[in-house]
Amino acid sequence: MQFFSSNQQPTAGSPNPVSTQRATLDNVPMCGGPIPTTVVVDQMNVPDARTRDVNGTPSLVVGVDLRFTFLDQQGRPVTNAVVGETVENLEGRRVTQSTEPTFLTPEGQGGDLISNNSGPVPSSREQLDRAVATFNQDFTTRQRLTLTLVTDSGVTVRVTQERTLTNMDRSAPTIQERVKGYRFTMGKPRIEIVK
Amino acid sequence: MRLILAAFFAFAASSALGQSASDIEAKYGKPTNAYAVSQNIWMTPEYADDGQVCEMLLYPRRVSPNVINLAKKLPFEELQSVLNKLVPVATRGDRRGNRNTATGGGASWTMYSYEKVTFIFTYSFKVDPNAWKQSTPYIFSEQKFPPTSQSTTAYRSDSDFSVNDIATAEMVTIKWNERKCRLQ
Repeated sequence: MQFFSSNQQPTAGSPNPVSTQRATLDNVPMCGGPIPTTVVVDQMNVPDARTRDVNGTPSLVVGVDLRFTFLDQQGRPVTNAVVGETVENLEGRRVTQSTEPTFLTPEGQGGDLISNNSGPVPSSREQLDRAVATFNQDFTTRQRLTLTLVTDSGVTVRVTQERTLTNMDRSAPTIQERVKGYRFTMGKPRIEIVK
Repeated sequence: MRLILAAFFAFAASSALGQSASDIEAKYGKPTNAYAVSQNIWMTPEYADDGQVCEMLLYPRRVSPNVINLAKKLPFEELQSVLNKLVPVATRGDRRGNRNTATGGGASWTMYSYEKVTFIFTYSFKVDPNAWKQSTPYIFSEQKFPPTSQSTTAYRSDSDFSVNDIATAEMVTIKWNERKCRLQ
């Protein structure tokens, strides 16, 4: 598990990830169809207060965006795969299976949002105060994500990764002096061929 | 020989077509308990060692007589009513803090904690890999809003849950904080 400082503030819209983790399968034959052999997980920003569209609702969140990129044996983006997603909350909640398989972008990418979501963007001072109070409550989400990729040739690859977002780390810098600091950590992903 | 073959095929056919309740149970185990707690909501309970319910899962009822329901979300008004019937407000104990929502892996969990029970509203959503580019930093400023005489108040007891959480829920879990579920 590595720690990434919330002090590293990228410029707005910067395409450069704050931090990156990757994993590659060993001893995969170079011949045959493209197989996802490498996964790169980019943390695109530091934990901060942002407005984000969540399920069609403009929402106020504190959290980070992750970008997953899948590459084949030749280092090219994987586009011929369907991705199934499950997430297990390590605080004891059940595994949650996202409803539908998704497709990767032409760049072989998928995204994720790990956040504390206060709900719709405040439209009154009362709602703003409630959002701040929500962000300042003790909060920790520890999750294990499992992505299952099935290529059009039937190869199944599984990727797992653990990550944590918390405001219980007192060394994390506060957000605009109103909200407790949040710390995001992510482990090295694991990639394996299932079938 | 013909007789043996005929007997073999007759046995194989009867095995393949055997679809009695005991056949199905032998293959797939005991059925899951599901109660129709409203027209469009099913509830599956789990129990503690003392026989008391420790957890309830609420999810869309897919089939009822003459109806197939493909909706992902729990129906808003039914859900509100079912929650109040299953765990009346007076039995929940004091509210503990504000609602709390975590997202990740295309899922969202919103928790409402009370002294005796915890409600978890869950839904799924898609995350556009490029959505982070459109997200904007939020500046906390009271000056955005005109002053109001209203103070920050607790939620009304008959509408403990935000409308948004009820309207988006695909599944609701109710947990009794002091009861440990039997291992399945």
